[in-house]
Amino acid sequence: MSSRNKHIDKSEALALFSQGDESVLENLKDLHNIDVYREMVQRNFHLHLSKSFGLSKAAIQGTKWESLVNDFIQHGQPKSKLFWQMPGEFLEFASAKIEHWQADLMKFEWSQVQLYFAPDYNRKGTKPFSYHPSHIAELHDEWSILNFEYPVYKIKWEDLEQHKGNYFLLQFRNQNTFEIENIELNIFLKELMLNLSTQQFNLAQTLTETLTKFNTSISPQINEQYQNFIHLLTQKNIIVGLL
Amino acid sequence: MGISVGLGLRREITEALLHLENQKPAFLEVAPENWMEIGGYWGNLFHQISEKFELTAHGLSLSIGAKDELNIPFLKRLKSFLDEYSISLYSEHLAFSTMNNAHLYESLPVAFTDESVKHISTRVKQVQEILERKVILENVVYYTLIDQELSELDFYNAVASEADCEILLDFNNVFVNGKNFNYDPYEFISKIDTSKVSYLHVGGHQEQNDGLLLDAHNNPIKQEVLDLIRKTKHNFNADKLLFERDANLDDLNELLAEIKRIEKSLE
Ligand SMILES: [Fe+2]
Repeated sequence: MSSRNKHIDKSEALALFSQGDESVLENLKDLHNIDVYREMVQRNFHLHLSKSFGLSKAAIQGTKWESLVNDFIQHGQPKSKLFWQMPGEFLEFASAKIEHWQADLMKFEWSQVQLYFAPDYNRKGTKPFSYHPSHIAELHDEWSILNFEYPVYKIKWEDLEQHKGNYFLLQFRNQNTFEIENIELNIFLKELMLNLSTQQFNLAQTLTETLTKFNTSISPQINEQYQNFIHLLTQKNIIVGLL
Repeated sequence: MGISVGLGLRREITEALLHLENQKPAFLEVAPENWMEIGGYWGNLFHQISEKFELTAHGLSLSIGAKDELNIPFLKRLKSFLDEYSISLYSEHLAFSTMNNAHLYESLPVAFTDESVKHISTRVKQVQEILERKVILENVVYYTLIDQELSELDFYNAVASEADCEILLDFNNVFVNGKNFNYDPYEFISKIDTSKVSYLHVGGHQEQNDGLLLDAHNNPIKQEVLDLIRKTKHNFNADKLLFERDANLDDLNELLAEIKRIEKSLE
């Protein structure tokens, strides 16, 4: 018996064994049906993680996936009180142990789950959106910007290596269908989106702030991108009105 | 006063429940951890459910039997949820589900000892203070005994008395534990402090090859368990009995038929 195990009682040993720690078997000699507990615990984690990461599981494959999950059950120490949030902790745990593109894929899948269940946004303002440089746009918060090294959301897995780069994806929950949608952003639009979401700047200031960040001034092309993006955000109901 | 029969709310049957006109379950039981603080599609449906049905709560992650510190911020979030949806009945498992604050997301058995009674009672009192509600602890199914000093019966009665909490009596669990550990479920029910029993459960179980009964909640309730309800129902003051089904949830009509069977045993 290892010295660690001398100080644990039998219920703790049963918990450790259920998590996959076989070194505590010595403490459990007179207990019955301990495998029933281990199977229940293991099955819950495996089932739920397979559901949350359907694509990632297929990408990581077989035994590697199995052992990642088993490792997590034993060593991952999940703290989520809400079971559905546990996969977020698995993502943190697993990311460094898999290929970068697989970690990107997991991030992509997990963000969808989070947004799907995210609390509803409560509007602060009452006015509908109309464009004027002095207006402050109100955005809901059911979105996030993901940064990827590999564009897992649009390129086949086997071709990803040739597309290594720096990608930004705006992922958001459609206000009518509740489904998760994606818009790819370039670095300028990513910055613009972040400035808009602070809701401290009016529309003119938002553009100026963003241009300053890139040390540049307005050009017809940039202006067109800007106008189109504001239009898209209103069309997709991400801009919900004016503050 | 009669006993009304409710159904556990699961995602698979949520939409069908919203479309029910007649023959609705008398109430729905929800796991707070599956519904609290969510929005979007399911948050929206849950809100509609709460307007159509009376709700009770059956928690998953309290881990009342653990040695870990209670998670006070979580208890406060839980209280907001219960308050928001006017849920007065809050039950949990008399078990533990965390080790060193890590969740196992399953109910593991506590030792039936005086020390456990003290430890659990202290924690229950704290929880009741924060939630401003009685905690109703369920007699869970266990598959092994750990350092037993007290009988299961004495243990439950002692916790209920010392913690000044209530008991959720699960008929199926009494039956399953009775079979697995060789005691008479009728005797157990005749000796449990029924003045403390404020909520009831029943579900289906399954027999393993080696004869061990599992608390599976995936199939029809066994007739012997319905008989147990029929013959002991007058012992209880509780007015709510919940039908638990965690799997094979495709057909709401089958679940409603099960509720009819339970109601028959309550006539
Ligand atoms: Fe139960």
